[in-house]
Amino acid sequence: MSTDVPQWQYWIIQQDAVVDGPAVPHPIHLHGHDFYVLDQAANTVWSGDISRLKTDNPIRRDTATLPAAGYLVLAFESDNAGVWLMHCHVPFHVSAGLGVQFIERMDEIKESNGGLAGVEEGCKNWKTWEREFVGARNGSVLIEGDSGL
Amino acid sequence: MSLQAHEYAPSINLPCHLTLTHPPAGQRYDIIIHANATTSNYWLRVGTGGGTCDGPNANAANIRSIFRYAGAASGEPNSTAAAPLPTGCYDEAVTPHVKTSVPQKIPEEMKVGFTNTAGSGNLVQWLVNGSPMLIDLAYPTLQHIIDGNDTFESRRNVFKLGEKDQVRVVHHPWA
Repeated sequence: MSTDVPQWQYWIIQQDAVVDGPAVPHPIHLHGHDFYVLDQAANTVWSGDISRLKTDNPIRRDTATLPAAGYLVLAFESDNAGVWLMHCHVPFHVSAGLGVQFIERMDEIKESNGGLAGVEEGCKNWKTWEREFVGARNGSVLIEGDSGL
Repeated sequence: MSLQAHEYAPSINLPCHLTLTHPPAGQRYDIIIHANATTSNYWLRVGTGGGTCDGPNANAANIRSIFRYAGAASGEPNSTAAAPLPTGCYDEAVTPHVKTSVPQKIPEEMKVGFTNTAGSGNLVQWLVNGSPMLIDLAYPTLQHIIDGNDTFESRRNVFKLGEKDQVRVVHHPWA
């Protein structure tokens, strides 16, 4: 049973002026939620003007474009306790680090979604496999620069 | 074709003969195809954004499948593209069918950066708030939760949100 009240979460994702790399759009994908697209623009920095935000029936989806050298403003409600990812959906971009994880309503996670027994079992099996097949070789399945995602 | 929904959120219908531009990776659309053309075989073409989305694609002109009407002869279609395939990488302007209003508040900011000098050699990395995400496969985040351990290395790119009495996103990863 949820004890916390869902809160609106507002994020700006701003692409820095790129010095030695490509200014490309990134399809930003959220796990665990749809989000609302409040604003997005290419080749500019978010002005901080909240009157720009489209709050009346904005597009609701789970993947939206962060335009090249620009920004994306999104909002969602914290109504789904868990550990979730937000990442660029281009596979080699998330592999190269373009992701975050967010822990939502941490105090409720253990009791939500039927508990974490399945996770514990999965971790146990993974550790056995890793010790047996990976650890003896080079200690990790990841190569340098691979985020693991 | 007409568009019905985007990532399962019902949309107000767009007109027939819609040409989807290049949907970015990960986006999904529910569409209805109006099979009202002459019985034949037709190409369904997919553009890759003209190299502006996730890099050039040497085989861009050949990403196709075939729509075959019942009763049409076998063999490849000879239909031609009505217009050059769209380039660019944009979201479709869709309007949700179920209306929602979002409170207007000041967002928190995270910055996406890029470097090709991280680590050794010419390693290419994308950064969020200066940090390329790197997970620890031996100690998953949910294992932290099970253990009651809320200390994370900064390169895990962990944010914490929605706790009691906490309105704003904590947008700096923990050290």
